Amino acid sequence: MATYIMLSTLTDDGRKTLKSRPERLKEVNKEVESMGARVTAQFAVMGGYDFVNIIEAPTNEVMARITVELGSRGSIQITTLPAIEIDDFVAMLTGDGPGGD
Amino acid sequence: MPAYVLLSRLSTEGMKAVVEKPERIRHIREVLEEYEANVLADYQLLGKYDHCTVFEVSDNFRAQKAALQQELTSSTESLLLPGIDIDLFERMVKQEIRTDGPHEWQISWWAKTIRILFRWRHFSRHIWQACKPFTVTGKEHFSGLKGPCIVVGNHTSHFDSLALFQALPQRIKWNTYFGAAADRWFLKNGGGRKELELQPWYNSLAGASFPIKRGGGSKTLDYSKWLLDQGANLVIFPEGTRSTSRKMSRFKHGVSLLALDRKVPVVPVYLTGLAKLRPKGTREIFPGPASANIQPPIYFDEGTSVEDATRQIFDALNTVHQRVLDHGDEAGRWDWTPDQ
Repeated sequence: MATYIMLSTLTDDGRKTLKSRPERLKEVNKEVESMGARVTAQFAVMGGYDFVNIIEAPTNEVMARITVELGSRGSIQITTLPAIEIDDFVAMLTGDGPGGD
Repeated sequence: MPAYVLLSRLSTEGMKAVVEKPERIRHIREVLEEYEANVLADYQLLGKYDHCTVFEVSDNFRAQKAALQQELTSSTESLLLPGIDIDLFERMVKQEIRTDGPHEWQISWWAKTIRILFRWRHFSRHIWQACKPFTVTGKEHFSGLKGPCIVVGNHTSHFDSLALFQALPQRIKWNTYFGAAADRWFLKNGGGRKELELQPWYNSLAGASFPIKRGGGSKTLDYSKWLLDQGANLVIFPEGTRSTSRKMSRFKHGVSLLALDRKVPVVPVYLTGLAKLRPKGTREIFPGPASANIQPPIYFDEGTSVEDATRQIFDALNTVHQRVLDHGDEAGRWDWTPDQ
């Protein structure tokens, strides 16, 4: 499973939905799971984004589907960043890993 | 312990350092750990940011210091996002803002009598200290009013309700009540602040105010209707909140709904100079001239729609507002003409 960092910002509609139905936050996790991925950590944050989700998904395609699915509701704007475990990244750079020389 | 998400982007120099010595990428983690942070997750990213570290540390200050230190030593630009545990966040959003009031006893004879004793402390002294001078024009418009009325004003400062109250004749003043934001002035138990515990009670008694829930729909008008039925007068700022621009904000329909439903006149009062005394966002007071200019009452014809009524009230105040913008505060008087 690959890891993705999903940074999301609420739209005006999203803020209204959150206020009237806060439990939607958790329901979204179930939907992500039903699409074949798993939310491993989730934070509400202050600053340039409203939420940071760490998601494990089998492929980029699954992740793209999740992004489109969630984004299409008009409640959040999403930036998804594919993440690499730091150990794998170092191994890759030193040539020990799968992407090394 | 609070959690933080640190998103960073390596500079060219930082990237060179990582390529030459890949272990260097762990430097971010090392710096954070020097500041007693507990790193929960650490990722290299593809896309807008290069690195993501999720960590816990004792407070914002330490988190900020650690983030700054790693920026300096790792040649990165970073974005530090304080994180809130999602379960806690959900509970917080679900939490309702609990308010107190309205207190029906505020119209009883004893409450009105006590209020007279509070008049100087709550209303008059502020006007006396800040408005130099304070002028009232058009007071004669109240002499023809027999029953209750709704007084409306333009809203630019916290002084508006004090000035409006000061401008009313004694007969009206004795039985006048102000709508005030429930989530600001009527928080139950002071919203957790001990010094504000008595605030709702004090505002009902001394301030003659009653709570209005923002966005609460037509149900929020029930108490206002009850007050009018009891023969009380109301003061409402139909802009809803204090306006900071030169343009008057759109009026909400609450005043029209009340006036049409209970068949009472609306008295517009144009206030000048108060925004300069204590502008929105400041606590400092800058004494200066101010005035309350009472305009002729508006009586609505049978069958007037809510929209039309709101437009009539808006036009009455906006006409004066435009005059004041063009000719100065003097033009706020109801009988002002260009030759004056």
